[in-house]
Amino acid sequence: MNNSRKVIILILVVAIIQLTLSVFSNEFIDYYPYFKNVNLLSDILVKEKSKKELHKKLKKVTTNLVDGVVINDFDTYVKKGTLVRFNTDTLQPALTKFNEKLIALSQGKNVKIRIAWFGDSQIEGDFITQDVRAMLQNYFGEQKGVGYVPITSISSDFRQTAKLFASGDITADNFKKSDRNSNLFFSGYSFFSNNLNVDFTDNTSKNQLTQKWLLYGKGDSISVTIKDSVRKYPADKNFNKLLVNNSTSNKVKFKVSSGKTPIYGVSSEPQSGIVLDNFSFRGITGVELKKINSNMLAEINKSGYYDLIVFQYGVNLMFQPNDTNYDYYYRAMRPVLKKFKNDMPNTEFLLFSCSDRAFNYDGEWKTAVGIDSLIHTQARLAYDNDIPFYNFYNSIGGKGTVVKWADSTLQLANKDYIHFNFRGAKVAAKIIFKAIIHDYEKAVKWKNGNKPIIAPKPRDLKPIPKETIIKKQLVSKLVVPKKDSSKSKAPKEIVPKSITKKADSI
Amino acid sequence: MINIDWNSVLNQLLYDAHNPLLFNNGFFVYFLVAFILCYYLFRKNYKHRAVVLTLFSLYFFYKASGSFVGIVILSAFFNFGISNLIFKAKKKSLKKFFLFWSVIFNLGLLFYFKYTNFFIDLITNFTTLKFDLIHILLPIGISFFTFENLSYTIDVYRGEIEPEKKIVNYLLFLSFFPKLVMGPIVRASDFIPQLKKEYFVSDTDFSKGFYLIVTGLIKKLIISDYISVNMVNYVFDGPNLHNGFECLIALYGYAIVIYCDFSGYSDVAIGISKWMGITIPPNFLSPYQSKSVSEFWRRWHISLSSWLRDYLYISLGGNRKGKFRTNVNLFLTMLIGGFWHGASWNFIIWGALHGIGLAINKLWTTLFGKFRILPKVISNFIFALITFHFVCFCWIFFKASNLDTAMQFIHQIVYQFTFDGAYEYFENYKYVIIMIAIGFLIHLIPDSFPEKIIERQKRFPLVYYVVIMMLFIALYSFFKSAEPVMPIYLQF
Repeated sequence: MNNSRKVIILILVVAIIQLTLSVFSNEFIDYYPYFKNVNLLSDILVKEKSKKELHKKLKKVTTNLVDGVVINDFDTYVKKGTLVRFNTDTLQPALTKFNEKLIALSQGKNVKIRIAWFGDSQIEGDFITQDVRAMLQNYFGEQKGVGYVPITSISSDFRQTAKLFASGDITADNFKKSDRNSNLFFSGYSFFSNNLNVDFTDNTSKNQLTQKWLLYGKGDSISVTIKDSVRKYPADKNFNKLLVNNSTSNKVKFKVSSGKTPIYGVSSEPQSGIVLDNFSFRGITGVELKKINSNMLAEINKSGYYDLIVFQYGVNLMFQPNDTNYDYYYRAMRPVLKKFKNDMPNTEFLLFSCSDRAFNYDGEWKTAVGIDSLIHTQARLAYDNDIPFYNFYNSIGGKGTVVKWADSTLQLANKDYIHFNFRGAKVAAKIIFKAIIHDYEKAVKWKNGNKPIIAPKPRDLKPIPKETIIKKQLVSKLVVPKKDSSKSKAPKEIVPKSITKKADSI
Repeated sequence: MINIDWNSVLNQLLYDAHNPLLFNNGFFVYFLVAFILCYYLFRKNYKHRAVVLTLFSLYFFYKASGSFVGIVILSAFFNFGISNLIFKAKKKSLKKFFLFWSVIFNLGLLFYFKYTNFFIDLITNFTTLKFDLIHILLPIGISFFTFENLSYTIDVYRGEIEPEKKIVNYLLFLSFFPKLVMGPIVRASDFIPQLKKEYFVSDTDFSKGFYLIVTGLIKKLIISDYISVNMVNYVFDGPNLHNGFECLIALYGYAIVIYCDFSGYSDVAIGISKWMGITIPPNFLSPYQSKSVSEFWRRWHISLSSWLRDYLYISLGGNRKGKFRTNVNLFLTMLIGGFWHGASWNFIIWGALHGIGLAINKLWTTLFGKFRILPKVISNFIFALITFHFVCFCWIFFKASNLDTAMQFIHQIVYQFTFDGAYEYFENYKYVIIMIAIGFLIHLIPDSFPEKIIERQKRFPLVYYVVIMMLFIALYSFFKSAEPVMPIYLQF
């Protein structure tokens, strides 16, 4: 039998049913919302503009005029492309001592400026920081050096800027697991080994004098073998440095027997110029930094080791797509920032907002709904602790950026809609670099105008509630891309009990 | 009740670079309805039917690839003309001369669109000459119809077929919409004679067409897209962020993704053709069941591998020039086959690996083919497992966006392998893993099973087919992702 007519009838019947359903979809779409995915009329119907869109008003950046000077009030945290120090003149630089040192460096003075850059997996493998470092070093004197490199790390194979081959029996304490209860360094790690072989290469510098330091903590002593000569060194301070090599070679090999002394890593740096240390720790939010003890901070402060500390966290806080209240983070992070500020008065700080992160909401990847709230919380942390703030999210393009970056032909972000790839990291680094230079230029102008730096005049904002009752939130259909489950858990200690879903951390 | 925006309707009729026409577009439903009505209306007269089919096919291509439709028309006219010249030429040398120009034209077109930038890059990197890359868009389907043109003129040259006398039939052979954008690659000698027959759909054709369309769409739109979006894409984007275990699971996932993506699309093309009374041979036969690399290539993308065999391997001398040359020919065929997929070193490595795999396979059969130590079931299982893992290993190069990513991916599996956090991983990815498992299960279904379903379905009334189709649409609506996931082979 010829079934050609059956083919036509089947196609027509199915098409007519589907078309009819599409015409009447308004009647049942609330019961079966996925129908919108197969609505045959969706592309040709007149689209009603959403009320929100019609009434959307551009949030105006308000500034506050005090004594004829424009002051950065809290709302200026939304500003992009610039570092904001709240309650100060908008023309005054956000960073002061740091910029003064940059100016000295640009005048050819022998100055070393050291930056500690805290972050999560977004800066793992020296992503973003390698480009910011290179740009800053190129801009200020071309003195290269990779800075701090840990003994081992999950991303060590991947990191391009330095290679550190460590062999021997190595044990480690870290933010998540601390068997020896040792003093952790900024990296969140301390290592122990009695037969450690280190073979280190700094790929950022060539034929230029670099100092290679071994960094270690408090213990009994440490024995280091360099070129067959063994020497014991005291480990009486909370933070110790030992110069193992000072030459134009970018490589160094040595052996360490540490006993009870924690080893932190190697730092390769120029005689003078900029040193930028990458401290990435996968899956954290910054609250973990409270585990770095005050003695360590005080010791580092004493030597004026760090001029600037950058905190770049946030994407791990958005581990649930519908979270919109981050007050709990405020309460957990505020004491951490306070501790750093109190224990390290010689250092300036800079707090970054989170970058963009998207979730799959009903089949469509969109920026997390809670991102504005999170950035508001982060800005409050900066405001209340008098720490300059950088709106990284708005600077890279704000809402929808990561979706655009991940879906563009020349991909800039990974399909997890969180991480930048090397190209995207470069783009992000350029944007950050511009903001730092913008602040530096402000400082130069300010200095040339012989204006004194004026301390901020803080004004209290409405307090953050002590406890938050999180309403039962609707969890929409989603598939949460999970990153490295082996190391990733939401920071348990700060997650309210009502959140039971598994964390998705980076 | 409903308010139609007529401007949008008009825009829908035009080509949209961001939304090329595929089988899963809403627009395809309208297209199919309009087409099948016209096709049925002109069913009695095969000439009119061919014209209808050609016009719809060209329009389909326009909706999929814009003005590149001109290239299909141009190359159809050129090859139609030159094949007649080859046929009419009396002297062998003259035939050769025309064939030469046919090869130059077809490959030249392919090279211009596909490989110009690759070679510019190569010259810039390895010589002191500096050229800027040119912005060239790749016409969809060019790799497929180039091979169809070549096989046609070569067949005419070899005297295996007589050239078609009507341009419309040739144009239709080239542009036939179900297979135009991503295959299967069909042969004119199989295809054109079917156009001249009555429009006849047997019970089996109807049932089989339905089965292929529904299962093909499930494979492509549900299984493949789901695994792709929810796991494979971002693991391959940043392998460094995942441990070796997670990379390995993603690789197994990709094995299913590429199989379901491509074979699903091929099945739909074959199914739709069946409903038009045109039979296109199967393109995939459960390839991961293969027990050797050479068997894999008899089951995977069959229309490409048989094309490569008939027109490249045999043209190079095949196995007629001694063992050593046979292996060299095999290697070269696979290397070029790899390069056909795309202008990158990764595809060349992928092809080369398969070439080496085939050569080792041949050597192994010669040396140990007659020995049998283990029972057949066990040895078959072991060989299937080895073959599958070899194929998976090669997929790393196929999928990774560049060589560095591929090497990083391998590095993670070799040096960063750990079961730490495997439990949480399974918890989080359970649906993706279930999908991967379903993909593998499909493979284990014996061939007799679909045949039984097709046979039984024949007796069912039309309402059965309508219900199944509507159920599929409901299922699809649930899984559909917002961003269209372009079929992998669309880029080749």
